Amino acid sequence: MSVCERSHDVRRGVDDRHVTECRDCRDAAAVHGFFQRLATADDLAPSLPDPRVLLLKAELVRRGETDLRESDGARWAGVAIWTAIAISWLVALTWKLDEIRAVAERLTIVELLPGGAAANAILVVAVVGLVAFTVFAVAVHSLLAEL
Amino acid sequence: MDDHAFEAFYRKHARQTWARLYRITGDGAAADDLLQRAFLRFLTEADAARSEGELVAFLVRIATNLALDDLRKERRRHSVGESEGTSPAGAGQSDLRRDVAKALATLEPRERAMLWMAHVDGFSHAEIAEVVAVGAGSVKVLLHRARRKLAGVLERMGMGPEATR
Repeated sequence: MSVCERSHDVRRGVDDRHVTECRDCRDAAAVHGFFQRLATADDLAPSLPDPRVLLLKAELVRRGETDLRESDGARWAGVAIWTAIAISWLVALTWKLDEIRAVAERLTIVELLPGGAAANAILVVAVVGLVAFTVFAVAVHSLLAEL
Repeated sequence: MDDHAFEAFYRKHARQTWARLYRITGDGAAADDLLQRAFLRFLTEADAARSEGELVAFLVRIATNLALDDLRKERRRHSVGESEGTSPAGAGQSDLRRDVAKALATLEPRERAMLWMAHVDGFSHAEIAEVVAVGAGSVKVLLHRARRKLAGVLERMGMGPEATR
């Protein structure tokens, strides 16, 4: 489509003779005059909001976004902790199931005391630690869910 | 941008931004809502280090795109003629205002936005292309079509070049 190169410059003033002879520039001149009148028309009386209200709203939006980012961080931390717990249990139950069962069958308070079951001390401590950590994580998760 | 600078910027450009939104949507209530959203986005995204010219161009881009996106999403053809009654100026509109509304209603919202940028903001084809996300060559053709369409309507209404100059 061939469009007069000068039509977009009508707004800056193109000689009248060219405008009379060129259809594109004539159209552009009519439209330019029309839009200039629209832009300067004072028949519209909008009730513009106070800029201080907009500043306040923008501040609230920013705070909301910050809260969202922070809660995103907490959510990802939660996912990481639960994943670590799940992997630990999976590893323990896959490779150490028999030992855990054996320890559980003869687990007494005496064995839990220092020097009780020297051979399995590390395993006992690891399992008890994992159980304690799981219970702690469930408790924290429940507490945070209540907030 | 600090609060005082924003207030000064707002007082200088809010009315013109509202007029732009009103002419694109043809709806006073929509223009009110879009104005607030445009300035809120401006406040949360504008880089204070920019020059005033760049800030104005940024505001134009936000406001125009919000208006066009809303109209596109709603898939509602806002006829300027039909919704002129919702303007804040209220009832008792003159024949001239009705004619203006009718003439604008013959254009698509995007055409109204592009013509406003070309003839009120004085944007180049490249600047308009950036706002409406089309090539500069396409802007030239789209503007040409929109001008031809509107000029024809204006001529039929007796608002041709001689009347509008």
